[in-house]
Amino acid sequence: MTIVRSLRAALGASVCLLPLQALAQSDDFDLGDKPPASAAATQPPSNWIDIGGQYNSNRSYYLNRFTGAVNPGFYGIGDFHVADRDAWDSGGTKYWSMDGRDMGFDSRSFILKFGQQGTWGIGVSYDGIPYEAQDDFHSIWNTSGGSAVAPGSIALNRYPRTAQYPAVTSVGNPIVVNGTVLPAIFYPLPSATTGAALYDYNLALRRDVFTGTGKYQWGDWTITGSIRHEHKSGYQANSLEIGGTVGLTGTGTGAAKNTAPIAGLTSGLGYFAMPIDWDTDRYDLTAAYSTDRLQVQFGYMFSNFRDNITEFNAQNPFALGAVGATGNFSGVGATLAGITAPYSLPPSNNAQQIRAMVGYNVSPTTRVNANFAYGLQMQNAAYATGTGYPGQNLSQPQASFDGLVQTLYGNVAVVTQPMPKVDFRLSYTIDDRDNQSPRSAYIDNTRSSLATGQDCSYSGGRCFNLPYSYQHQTISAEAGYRILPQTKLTLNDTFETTYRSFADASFVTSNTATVKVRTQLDDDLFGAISYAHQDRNANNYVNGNTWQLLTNGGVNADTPPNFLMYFEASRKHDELKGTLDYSPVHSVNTTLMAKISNDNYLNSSNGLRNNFNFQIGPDVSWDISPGLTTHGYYTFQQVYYEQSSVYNSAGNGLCATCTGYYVPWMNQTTDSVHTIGITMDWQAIPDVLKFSMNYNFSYGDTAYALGDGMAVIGGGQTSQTTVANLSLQPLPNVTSMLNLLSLRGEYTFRPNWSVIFGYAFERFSYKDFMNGVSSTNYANAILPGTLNPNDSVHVLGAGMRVRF
Amino acid sequence: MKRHLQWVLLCGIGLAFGAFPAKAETTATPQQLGFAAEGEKTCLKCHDEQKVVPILQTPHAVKGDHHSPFGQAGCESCHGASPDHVARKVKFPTVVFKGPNISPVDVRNQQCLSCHQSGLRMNWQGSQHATNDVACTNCHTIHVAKDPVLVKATQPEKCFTCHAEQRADASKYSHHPINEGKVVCSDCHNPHGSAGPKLLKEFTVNETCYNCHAEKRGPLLWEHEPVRENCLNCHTPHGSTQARLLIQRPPFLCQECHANSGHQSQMLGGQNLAGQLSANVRMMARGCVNCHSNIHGSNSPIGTFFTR
Repeated sequence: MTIVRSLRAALGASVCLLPLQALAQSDDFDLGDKPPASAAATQPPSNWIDIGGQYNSNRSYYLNRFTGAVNPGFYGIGDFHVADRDAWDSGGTKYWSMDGRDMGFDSRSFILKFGQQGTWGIGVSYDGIPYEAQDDFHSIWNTSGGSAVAPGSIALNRYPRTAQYPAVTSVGNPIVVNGTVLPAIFYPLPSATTGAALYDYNLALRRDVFTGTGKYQWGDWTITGSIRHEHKSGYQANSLEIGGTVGLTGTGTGAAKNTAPIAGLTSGLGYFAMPIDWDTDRYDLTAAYSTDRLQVQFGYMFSNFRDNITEFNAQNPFALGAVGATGNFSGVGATLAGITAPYSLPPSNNAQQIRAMVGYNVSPTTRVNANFAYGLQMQNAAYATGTGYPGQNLSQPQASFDGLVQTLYGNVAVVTQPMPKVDFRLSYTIDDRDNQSPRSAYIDNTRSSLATGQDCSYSGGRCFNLPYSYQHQTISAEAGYRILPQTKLTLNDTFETTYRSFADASFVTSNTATVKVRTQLDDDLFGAISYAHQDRNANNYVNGNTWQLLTNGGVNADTPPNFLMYFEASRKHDELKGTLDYSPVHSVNTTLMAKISNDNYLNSSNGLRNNFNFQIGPDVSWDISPGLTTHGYYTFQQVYYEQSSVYNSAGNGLCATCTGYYVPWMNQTTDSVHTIGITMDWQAIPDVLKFSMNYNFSYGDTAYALGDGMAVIGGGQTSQTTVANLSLQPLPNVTSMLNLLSLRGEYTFRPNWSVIFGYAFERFSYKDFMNGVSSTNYANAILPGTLNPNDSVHVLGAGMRVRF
Repeated sequence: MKRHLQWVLLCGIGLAFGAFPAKAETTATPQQLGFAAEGEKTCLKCHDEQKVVPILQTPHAVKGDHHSPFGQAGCESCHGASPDHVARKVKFPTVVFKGPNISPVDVRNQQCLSCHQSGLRMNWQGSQHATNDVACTNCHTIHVAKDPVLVKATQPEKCFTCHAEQRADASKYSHHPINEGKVVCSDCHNPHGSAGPKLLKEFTVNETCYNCHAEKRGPLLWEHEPVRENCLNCHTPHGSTQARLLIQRPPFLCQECHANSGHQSQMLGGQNLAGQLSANVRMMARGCVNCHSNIHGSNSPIGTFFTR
């Protein structure tokens, strides 16, 4: 039974498919004593149209983010399936079908197909995919990057908000607005800003996808082509900082620490609504040849991504540094507002690929498969403006990237059954990314300031870009032996090598051994268990190699030995999975699944050290009676991460008096998720009255356990004995909870006419300490003001279905 | 990078092409092969129940198409030549797809593969589902007007029957719109077998993601190595309790790699939360990504550290 998120889904999906599921449940063609029928039964009508409406009680961004129906009120429901084809025994092959879903919502879709089966076919479709991100987003910039603190500048304010960021009423010191003191970043404000406010956004995105497909069959050849065009538009949350690193420069004490005026403030952080105006076109053409023994397919793909907005050029709205003061913006005075912060948006790019697939049945028991693809990825969009600092000229080596990547994929597999009960598979795979983009030295300007990057030390503040390349090669051998008809033993060994450029570990090897057993334990009991062990070794390790190549010989003195990025580090991986299927009677089926996996990064001195996953859960289906079926499941998941690092005691803020100590610390993150689902379908009166219920519950909890070694470093300092309000404090858990309940009834009051009633309740809550943060909590950052979602919606719906 | 092995692949493909077999021809009549004289009409004399006849509305039953089962030997194209069953000597046809007398998995699958071996099914033999004795009819329903697994709204539930982990993931805080019917399993996976990992349609994880997220494809001037190699280094595609499908949240996610001493390795705890006197912007909003916002890579000359 489909998990129903709203009545709309109930009307559209489950009404259509419940009778189909019922038909599919028993398919045992036992003649028994049944006498021959006199004539073929009448086929039920398969076309239908749904018309109706639903009412949403509350606004719900989270629960309706993919439908666009975020507001309370009435919505229309419209779904249909209309199709026809030549009668099956007429000799004709023409067909056509039209399907429409969610016609009353922004997520509407439409598909039209027609053709002559076995000869040609054409399909066209449209799919709308909205995404309502949030309605509580604030920015100091408008959508064009203009300075936001302008009188009466409110953009896209669909849902007026007055609570968090009211208009400026005083430009004095401090700036107080309705009793709320604005963060220091605003100081000092020109008097003309009185009455201004931050921009208030409703962040939403939308994809409109148009697809056309065509197929033509010519003997043993099938030619297919498709064109897909997608336009994505809207706004997405993003952020940028101006003037270099954003540091803690608040002054004062207590609650006013980050709100008192700050002299010489040189950097600031702000969120902006990044404009999205993208077009993606994809063209595919394939030619396939198929016979009993040989199947071949050739294909060509071209994909073009076009970003119609190349950069977001934000004006500097921060009063950073007074006239004549030293610092990044010193001496600029009245021209402060002339500084801009150009931010590059995703550049346009394209990719093309030729593909070939071959499958050959060497014998009835041996088959060879080969897959091959060669591709190019290219990007040559003009660079965004390097700096917006008036008068500063950054001489870069070229005006665009002229990037080129060659990709090569190859796979050959032989599958054979050399003798009864034994099967064998041998495969080889290569995955190669050859980045042939130019490598040059670029000057790193510290985010629209006069300073150049401190880390980029070559030739006056330059770093070299790193065109990453890699190659994976994998050999896999698998053997299976059917010990008994219902018992099979499978052994697998996979060896992989990885070469990487510009990496600390340029050569990594891994070997994975797997054993699997599937068997019938009893008449009604089946089980399967598998165990896999992987040894991964990082070789050719050069400490800090990537950093040296980036900075042309720069050395990060604080990089400890044996510190590797976790995805290329040596690792031991173990995984155990098991399943039990028990069906004591025909109407009951139970399954128990469990999985444990563990990753140990034994040789890594810092970073991710251990990752553990655990999952278990039963699944029960019970056909209580011919017209009453139920299904329930529970899944418990736990994910654990253990990581370690070292911090400099002087910079962490935990010890006001101790300096120069490198303190080890560790974090253990535990993510626990409970998921429950219950469904019930009841045909109270067969073909006349039916009910269905669906309940889904999900609860997630993320806990953090932090600890440091401050006590062991000496100096008489511990994190618990320093100034009390600077001591290490625990982090609160992050929790999420989802409740979905839907009830549906369908009454067929005359043949092929039904009325449908439904009710759905949806509730979601999320608590995250990183959300709901007011900007007054930080000296030089204008945060977006994103709140934790806390939505609940009641949905009532009614409609009519006509079958024909 | 080493390229010599591509010649091995090309030679392999050439050998395959060189072995173009002649299509087997048979002169035997359907009756000589054991099929019913009147084809499906023989079967429909008895099997005309509502649970059988919906197949007559599907492409499988188009007699005018010689590729379809009804265009060949009718019901027996799939259920095997069953003269004894037609003669009422045995209860069941040669190939039974459901019930207590079900035929072995490989026998059932061979019936389907006799026609459906090309295209998406080309890599079926030796694939994960085939190795685990998954039958075609475990997922597909034939005797219905529309196979539920071919419908976006109902396909995921079929996959969730075995893949409980993904079912739980799809209900988490951050998820692809699977339950909402906008993304389905077959948008990323080919359950019939593929050359890519985890039955992905494309050869790599990233190639699969670029189908919908082409803005990440690049290449870019300043690339983030874990992004370039595998999106799953930071994301989990089915669902996550963290925002944006992340496996962990910043700063801890970033600190799994960036743990050398510097601002990136600072231990951030409750004392750094908003409102506290050691409030740190890396414990608010998007953490490290507040500043390093072009984290998937930057094409700006001054985007060395993904801040532009």
